[in-house]
Amino acid sequence: MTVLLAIKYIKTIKAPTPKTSKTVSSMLTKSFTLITEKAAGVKVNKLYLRLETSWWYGLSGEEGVKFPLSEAFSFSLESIKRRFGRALVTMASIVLGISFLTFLLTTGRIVSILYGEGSGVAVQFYQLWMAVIALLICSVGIVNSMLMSVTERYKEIGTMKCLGAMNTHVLEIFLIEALLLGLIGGGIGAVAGWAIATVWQAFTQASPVNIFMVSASLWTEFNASNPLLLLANPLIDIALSVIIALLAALAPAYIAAKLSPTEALRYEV
Amino acid sequence: MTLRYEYAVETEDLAKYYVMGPVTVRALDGVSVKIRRSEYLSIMGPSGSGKTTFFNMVGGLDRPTRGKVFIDEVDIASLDAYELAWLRAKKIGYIFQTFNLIPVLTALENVTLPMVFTGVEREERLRRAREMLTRVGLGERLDHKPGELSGGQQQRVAIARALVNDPVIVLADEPTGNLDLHTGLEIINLLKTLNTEKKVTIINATHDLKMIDVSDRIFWLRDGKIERIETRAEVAVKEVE
Repeated sequence: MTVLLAIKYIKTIKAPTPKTSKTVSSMLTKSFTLITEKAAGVKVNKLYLRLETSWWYGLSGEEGVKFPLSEAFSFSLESIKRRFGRALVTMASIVLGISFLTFLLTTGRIVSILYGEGSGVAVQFYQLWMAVIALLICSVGIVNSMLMSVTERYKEIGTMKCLGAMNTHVLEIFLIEALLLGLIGGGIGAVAGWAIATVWQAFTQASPVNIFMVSASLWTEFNASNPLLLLANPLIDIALSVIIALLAALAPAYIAAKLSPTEALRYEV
Repeated sequence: MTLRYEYAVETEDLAKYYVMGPVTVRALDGVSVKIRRSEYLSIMGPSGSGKTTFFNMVGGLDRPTRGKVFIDEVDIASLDAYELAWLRAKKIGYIFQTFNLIPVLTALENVTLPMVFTGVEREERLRRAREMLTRVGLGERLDHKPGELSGGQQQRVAIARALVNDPVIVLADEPTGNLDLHTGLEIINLLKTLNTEKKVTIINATHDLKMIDVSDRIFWLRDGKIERIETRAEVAVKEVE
């Protein structure tokens, strides 16, 4: 009797609603399979009770694990603060890479603006290569330190998962951390690289005032048609650093997030 | 509406095999048990007998090769990732041999963490964590990091963390394994007190014989199989003989 009732009830719900999160109907279909599975057995009554009163039935309402973005953000921020030494090492590689890149491009831009585009082709070609190499060095450094900072926390990830963290929550924490490190490191790096290039040019070249004017104008130069000119804008370099940091953290964070809690806990660095 | 089920945990023919090259290791080989609510249970056996594997299966931390685990009458294999996370956050508290506290967080923050995932308000989180830490005797050390606490104190923090969400079951994997005799005994007594007070089911995987004195029942595990199940009274009688 109870089975019939349950089946009847389930049948009133038509095709499963679009898979949003936890809809009642998806719960019911799951219970339905449970019921049919053991329909002949003595456990049917109990299963019907499961349908009505089990704790996961309640998940469709207020319950279910939560990890709002604000919590993830403050957790990541705290983690950077508490592990400041570690964060500094990671950030140092970002700062160095981005400042090297910005320094090269700023110097190149100042020279080519002040002394004409005439010698343009040769300068740009050489600049491009330098920029690419600077970018590569920068990326490798960031990837390496991100990899380290994720793998050394496998055990922590395992613990978090035992406490109710889902894969996406783990991923969130690490990506927000990468974003923050990329932003801060990139910011410091870009400003430093730009400032050093400017001061150096001002000392070695004829008219310091003119050079300050030129290098200041780089911050507002958004020339989308020429990627090299675009990269010479320190603001774009900061964005670039954020992107590289995110990409670098993505792979190790994804692997870490996918680990089962037992694997993560067993992991020894 | 909450219904009080008789059994907190049921397993049916639970098995876990690990394939290592040509050899299949039967870590757990057909275990069917029923564990009542608010029972204090010890799973005993030599190392390699499958205690930890049982712990992982029941805790929903790993998938069995065969068989089923029911927690509160729900087959945990039928849960999706979201429901499984809820199970871990709300229904089960874990205690480990190596404590596994988050090293950068203070004792208080470690205990609040599970409540973040169950969506408890910040103020309420702090209040409950303080209360729980005071309950386990660490009211004075809320702001200490795990590194500044002794092993026994760290395990107390872990116990507070496991119990703060009022779980149905607390799973403890060798909770006294890293502690000296005296501290181990304190932890065992604390677990027993909390078991009586909060009516929470406590399942210990252990080879610490001190556990026998407080356990309601003891499962003796050998080579992945239940060798025998004894109540405390039966063990006591044997000792006299």
